Amino acid sequence: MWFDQAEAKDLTLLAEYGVWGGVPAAPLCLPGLGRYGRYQFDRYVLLQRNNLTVAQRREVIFLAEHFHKIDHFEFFELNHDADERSLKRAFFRFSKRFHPDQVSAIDLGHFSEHVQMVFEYGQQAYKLLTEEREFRAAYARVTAARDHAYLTHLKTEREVQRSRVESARAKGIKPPLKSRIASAPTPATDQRTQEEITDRKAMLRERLAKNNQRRQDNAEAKHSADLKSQAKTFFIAGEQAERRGQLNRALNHFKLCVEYIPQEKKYMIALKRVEALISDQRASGLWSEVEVMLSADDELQRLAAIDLMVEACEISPNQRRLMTLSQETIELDCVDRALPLLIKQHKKEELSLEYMWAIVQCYEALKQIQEAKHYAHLMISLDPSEPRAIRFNKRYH
Amino acid sequence: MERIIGIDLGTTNSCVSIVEGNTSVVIPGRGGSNITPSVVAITQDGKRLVGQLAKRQAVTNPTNTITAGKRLIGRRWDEPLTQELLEARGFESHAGQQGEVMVKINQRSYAIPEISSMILLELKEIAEEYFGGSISKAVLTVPAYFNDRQRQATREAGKLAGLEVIRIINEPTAAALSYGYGKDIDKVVAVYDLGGGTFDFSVLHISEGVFEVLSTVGDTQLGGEDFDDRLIMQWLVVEFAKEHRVDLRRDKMAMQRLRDAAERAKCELSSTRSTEISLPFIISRADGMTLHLQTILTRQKLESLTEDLVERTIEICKRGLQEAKTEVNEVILVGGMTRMPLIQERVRDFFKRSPRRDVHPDEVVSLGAALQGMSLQSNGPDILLLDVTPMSLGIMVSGGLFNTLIPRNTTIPTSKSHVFTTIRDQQTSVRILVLQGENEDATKNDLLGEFTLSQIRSAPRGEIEFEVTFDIDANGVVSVNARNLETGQEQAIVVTARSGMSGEALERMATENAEHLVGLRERERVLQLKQKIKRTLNMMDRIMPRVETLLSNNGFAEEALVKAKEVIRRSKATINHDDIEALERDAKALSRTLNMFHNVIEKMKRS
Ligand SMILES: Nc1ncnc2c1ncn2[C@@H]1O[C@H](COP(=O)(O)OP(=O)(O)OP(=O)(O)O)[C@@H](O)[C@H]1O
Ligand SMILES: [Mg+2]
Repeated sequence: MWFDQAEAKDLTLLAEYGVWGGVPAAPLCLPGLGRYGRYQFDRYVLLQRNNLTVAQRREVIFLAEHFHKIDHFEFFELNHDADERSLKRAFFRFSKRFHPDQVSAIDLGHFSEHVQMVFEYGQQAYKLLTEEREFRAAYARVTAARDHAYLTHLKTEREVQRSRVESARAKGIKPPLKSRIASAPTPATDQRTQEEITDRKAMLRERLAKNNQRRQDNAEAKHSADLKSQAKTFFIAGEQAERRGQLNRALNHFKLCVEYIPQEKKYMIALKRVEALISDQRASGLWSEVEVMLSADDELQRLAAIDLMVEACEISPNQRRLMTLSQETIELDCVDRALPLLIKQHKKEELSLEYMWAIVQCYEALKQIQEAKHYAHLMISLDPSEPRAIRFNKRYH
Repeated sequence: MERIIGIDLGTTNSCVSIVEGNTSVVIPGRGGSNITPSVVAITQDGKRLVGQLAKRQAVTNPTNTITAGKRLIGRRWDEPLTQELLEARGFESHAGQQGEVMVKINQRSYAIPEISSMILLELKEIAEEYFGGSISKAVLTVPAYFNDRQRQATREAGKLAGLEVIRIINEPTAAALSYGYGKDIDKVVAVYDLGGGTFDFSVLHISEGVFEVLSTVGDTQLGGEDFDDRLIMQWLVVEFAKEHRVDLRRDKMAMQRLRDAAERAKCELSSTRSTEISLPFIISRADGMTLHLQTILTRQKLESLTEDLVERTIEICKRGLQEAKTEVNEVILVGGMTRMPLIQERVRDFFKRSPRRDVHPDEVVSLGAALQGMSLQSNGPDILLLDVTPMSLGIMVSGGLFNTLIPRNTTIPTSKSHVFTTIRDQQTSVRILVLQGENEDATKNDLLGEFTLSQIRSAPRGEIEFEVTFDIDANGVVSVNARNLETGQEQAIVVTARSGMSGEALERMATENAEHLVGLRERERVLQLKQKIKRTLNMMDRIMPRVETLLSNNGFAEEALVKAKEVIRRSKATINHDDIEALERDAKALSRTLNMFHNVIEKMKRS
């Protein structure tokens, strides 16, 4: 028996945790006997997501079947006194190997159930160890006691072994190889060599630092080269998409280019170009809706169309659109929607009489005759025979 | 590598993303915007409108427009909450064959997943247009606090849209994924996600590419819509009634306009301190006089109306932090509602730190979904989600009590077995009610399904035992298996109640969707043809006088002219109808005539 009365109490407590309470009577592996004992996994069992070898499959099955015999700590390759942090790290490491998602790309058929089982076991073990303090304490005590008992057991066995060897030696049999190796001679240490050593150490340290620096520089250079080449690929893909008319895709590609290499003008130009194309497309799209809505000749629809028109004109204004907008807003009594847009466009194209005339009409609708007159005068100063402006002036003289 | 899109199917807005190179990017929708409104409408002539188009016509066509369908997804028609929602929206509805919600639009009934599938279809189309190729796989997101039924229904919607849903992930988790991807961090991150219809709060530990969810809490009936409702029901309607003695609630169109205006005002108040709400001709009184609604709303007023809603989210956060049992290093805000200054302020006060500013509240969720999609492929990005189930799963035991089998916040995938036995002699079937929730009283929790173990050998009670295994997969979806412990054989389980729709109904909807796609293409073609004809007609009008004078003293051309006029007359009639064949024919005839005219003019010029 490797546990006494006090430990028996711990065991009862553990039993209350059900399937997971039982502690394997003998450890599968022991910290003292090579870290992971008998079951040593390939760290990348499941990380190589292409396929699983037969050996890897066998290991998963082994884990799934023998799980109840493996100590929770051992499972995560930890000592019994591991703190929460290392426990969590170990769990993450474990999850990266055994979470079903990590093999979801491979068609494992029924085998994936085994993977899932291993993950569920590990997850429960982790939960118990982290969340149930009492459990963890009892579990650590019990397993430590067990290991201690097991080690003592091994020790006595070794003692027996040794006494056997000794008695054999007494009978004139050669001792094992190890004990015959003489200890290495200690190096001479005078003042000079000491200095030399510190010198050399300093030199080494310097060289190390330099190497590190170089490595860092290299990494940075590589990173920026990576960015450049990536931007290039994106650029080519973007141009292709643009040619094929997939403007949105081109937009995303060029955006990435600019994000990677902001100083490259070519990328910026391409981005601007595609943006302009898209906004024009959007505006014409909106406008075709507007035309449908206007043709319905329904007050509400026409009111709703104003929003669309304003949007279209904001995105990509042109004369036809702005003229329609101003006419509609005059009729529907909401010129304030059109006016700012018209004035903005007028400032851009100062010589266009059409915009001025639209502005005049808008101000007239707003009954702000002073403003309207101002623009009418502008028109006349550009073209003294402008009939609309003249008529307007006559009306308000 | 296969393309997998990530879709954030939101209550008010949806968004679709894809991985390009090694980052994920949003695919812009129609109209250039990165987000597509989750609005579906059916026009008088049976046409489907989705997104911006549907949203625009909502005001003029409120009865046939469905908004916020997500609030109803996976709900049973007879739940009181469902009734309340339906009432508030004024949808005409009835219960479907399996007790699901059916809404009626233009004399036709639609299941909610069908409505959602129309939005998904639109997003799929957007992505296909983007690539110029077909797309069949997607990762969808759902609010973390969605239960199994809501998840199943969402998956059905995906299926209806012709998408293989390779994974359903939680919205806040997806947001964290997008935030933490490619960053070398070891941090505990809190995600506060307040969207149009739902609130979620999750705490995650991000380290070495592993995203471990520590806790998830939320409320699937708390979102921006409730803020709008407060504005409408507790203020606009009340004030209007006080002033004009008219109840706006009885007019659907008026309510739709109010809804629109309230939302707009709310959004504006995130950047200004006061705003004007102006709705001319909102309603006519019994005496025929039309009334206008015009008023000023201040940020202060909005805040006092909705303060308690914000407080509710903070209470939920408290619970989430308690369950996570750890310090938070970083807070990220997701969802359009988090632009509201009051919310930002309260969150800052509560967590005692400023939320991160480098997260796009409308886009992160779908960006994360796309990343997750790629990570499930071989050679995808090396990230791993360890998500949890947000609600406890259990069964009803005698006395109507709830017996938890898998507690909430358990990492998924997970499973749990439970042994059942017969309690009566000669019992031939055992009924199991599977529920999700936290209440001790089983009836207060969500019923996921009713399972019956049948064809049991007749024996004295207690003799036959079954092991029933409850499984929650990585999607958060529950499945149940049973084994007869006596024979070791799988035991037949009959699902006697489930949220979803019958297989038949699903099939019908899927074919309809396919037909709609064909229709969609046709409609585009019709539009193109009409535009082409219009353009040609315009040109024709312009050159007609010249051609006429040129040909007037040429007897031989007389006949050609008559024919041309006939073509023009016919085309003008054709563009008023959607007959694709007639349109094709006339477009051709017209362009031929136009060519001929051009030739004539050229010739005349030369001679
Ligand atoms: N600037 C703003 N200020 C205040 N609220 C805003 C602002 N912009 C958007 N909203 C609100 O945010 C909500 C929409 O947010 P979001 O698009 O994130 O929701 P969703 O993803 O569709 O919904 P859910 O995630 O709940 O399913 C709407 O209620 C909208 O009114
Ligand atoms: Mg959302």
